Amino acid sequence: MSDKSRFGECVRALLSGKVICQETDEILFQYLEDELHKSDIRDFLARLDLTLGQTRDRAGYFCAYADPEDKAAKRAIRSQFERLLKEMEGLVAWLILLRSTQDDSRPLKAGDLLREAELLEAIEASPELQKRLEDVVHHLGVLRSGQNAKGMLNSILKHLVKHDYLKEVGAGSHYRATAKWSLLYDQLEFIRQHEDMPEAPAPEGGQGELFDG
Amino acid sequence: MARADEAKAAIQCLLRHLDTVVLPACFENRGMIPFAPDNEKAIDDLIRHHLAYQAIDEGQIQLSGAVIDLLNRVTRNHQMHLSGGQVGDLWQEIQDLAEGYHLATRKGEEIQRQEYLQGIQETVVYFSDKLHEATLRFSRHIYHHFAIIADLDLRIRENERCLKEARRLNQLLHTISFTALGELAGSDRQLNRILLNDFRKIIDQAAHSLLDATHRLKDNLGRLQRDREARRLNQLIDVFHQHYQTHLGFEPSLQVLSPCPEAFNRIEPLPWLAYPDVDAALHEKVLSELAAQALQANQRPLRETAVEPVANVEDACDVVIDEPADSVVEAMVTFFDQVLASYTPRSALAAYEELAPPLAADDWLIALVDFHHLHLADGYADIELHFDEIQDSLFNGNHEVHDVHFYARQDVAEGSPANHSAAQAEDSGHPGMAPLA
Repeated sequence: MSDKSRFGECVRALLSGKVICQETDEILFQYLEDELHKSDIRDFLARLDLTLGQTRDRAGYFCAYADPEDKAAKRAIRSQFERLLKEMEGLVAWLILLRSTQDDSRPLKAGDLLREAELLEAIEASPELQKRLEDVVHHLGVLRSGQNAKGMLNSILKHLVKHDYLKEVGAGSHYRATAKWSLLYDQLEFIRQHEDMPEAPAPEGGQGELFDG
Repeated sequence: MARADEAKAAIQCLLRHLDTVVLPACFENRGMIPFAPDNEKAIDDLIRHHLAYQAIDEGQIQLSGAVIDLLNRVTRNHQMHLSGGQVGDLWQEIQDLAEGYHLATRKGEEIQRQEYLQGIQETVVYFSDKLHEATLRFSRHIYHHFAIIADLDLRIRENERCLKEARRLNQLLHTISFTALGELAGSDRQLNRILLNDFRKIIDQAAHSLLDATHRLKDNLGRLQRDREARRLNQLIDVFHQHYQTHLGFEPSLQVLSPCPEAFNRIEPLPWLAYPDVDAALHEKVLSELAAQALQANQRPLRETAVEPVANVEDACDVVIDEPADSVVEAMVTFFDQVLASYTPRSALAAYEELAPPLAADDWLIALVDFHHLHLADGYADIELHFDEIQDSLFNGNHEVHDVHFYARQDVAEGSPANHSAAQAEDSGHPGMAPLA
């Protein structure tokens, strides 16, 4: 595909509100990693009063308003913010749950692979995790009556795929985390600072391995 | 022997004050000896033997670098403060000694020449040791030193510092190139051996080790940074998790968005629509062109996929379609009409000559037999046929048909067709032409 076509594809993806990352679209992400291409895209977006945003960990690109204080832009940003608030507690609960299933207690990051079977196995082996799973389902609003752990987990994963937090990979029930998590972390960090939340306590168990030399 | 005595006295002085002053100063106090009444004698002795000196700014006594180096070297578990600058100094020293060596050679000063040569050899060995220890130091940092620093941020900082130092040292080693050493050695055989052979090998080995250490430091740094980021995110998640537990129904204020931070500044999906101002005279030309292009674009697919005209379908079950008759069929019908009309055996071959149907003679014979068979129910049942055939002499199951005779049955024909046929058969000289019973 020519650069011109890639440019068009990239612009269309950005204008559709997507977060472009290695996981959602490797080719477009690589295209944007090139400084020259990035500059072209920025120039084009500038003509539409838009700009190119990037997550703090540089894992994802997205389209932003050049003037977020503009009335229409403010309205759109506020609408997104309100949508985030509705599911934020659920997403945090999911991150806690997911971390509890990992041996090294690492937080979910863009590019991480999730295997539904492994998650289910870990959850079914622990009543505490099952309780957390119910919390996630409740807070994300994906609860359906009579669901067992497998059904609940599947509902959550489908919900996260639908909202671009995860991307299904391969034929099996494998999922790859996208840079929308990076964006969420950025948003959480900003809220934490703005709301003057206390500094974080020591993470729950398993952190020792992170600090071994 | 004065020099030897002086050296012995210095070593004895060191030994005398080793436990009380020298070792604590070296290992615990960055080489500094504090002024104290108990230290007074030791300080005087050490200064007298050039093993210590009074620091200019510190107001304290500093152990000589030679003593610190000696102790570091023999203990081997020290933190050697070798920097690129120190190695650079050694390199400068080698250059200075080489220049002196060339000058002494030119002047024919053999003793000085030997001293310079010895100096070069010693400095090269010293340089080699320093480099080796420096590279070892990086490895020690990676495997031991970093491990004892509990704080992740400090560990990263220390790693970055080591990496910076390793890069600086690497840059210095690159300046000691083969060309630079060649120029320094000139055409002198001994200098060539020391600098281009021994020294060059040392530099190459050190550069290789340094590169390896740099890679490991980089890997280590990357891992530490990932750990730090993971810790940050985990803490962030925990803060929110606990906040939600203690503040039920917590919702951040909308004030977060004033002014809007980058993390929340993401567009809503934009539709691909355009609404031109059709009334604007300024845009008339552009709009006309766009309209023409759009029209063309819309017409193109129509041309490419031409629509077939719709055919009117009528129920033609009761309609008789007058199709032109097939000439062969026509000839066959004529032939059988003649047979029925005359009631005399009629030769198919003779009819072929007469009616001249548009097909080969043998096909004509086959067509007549098939036609007859096909239309038995249509009145042709009254027609009999007889094959004019000869049995094959080689394959007695085979018959070679020369002609076929058709005739109306006796009960249908007027008169006696059988007799008639027999008479005809006799006339034609074909005894087999007698009608079949």
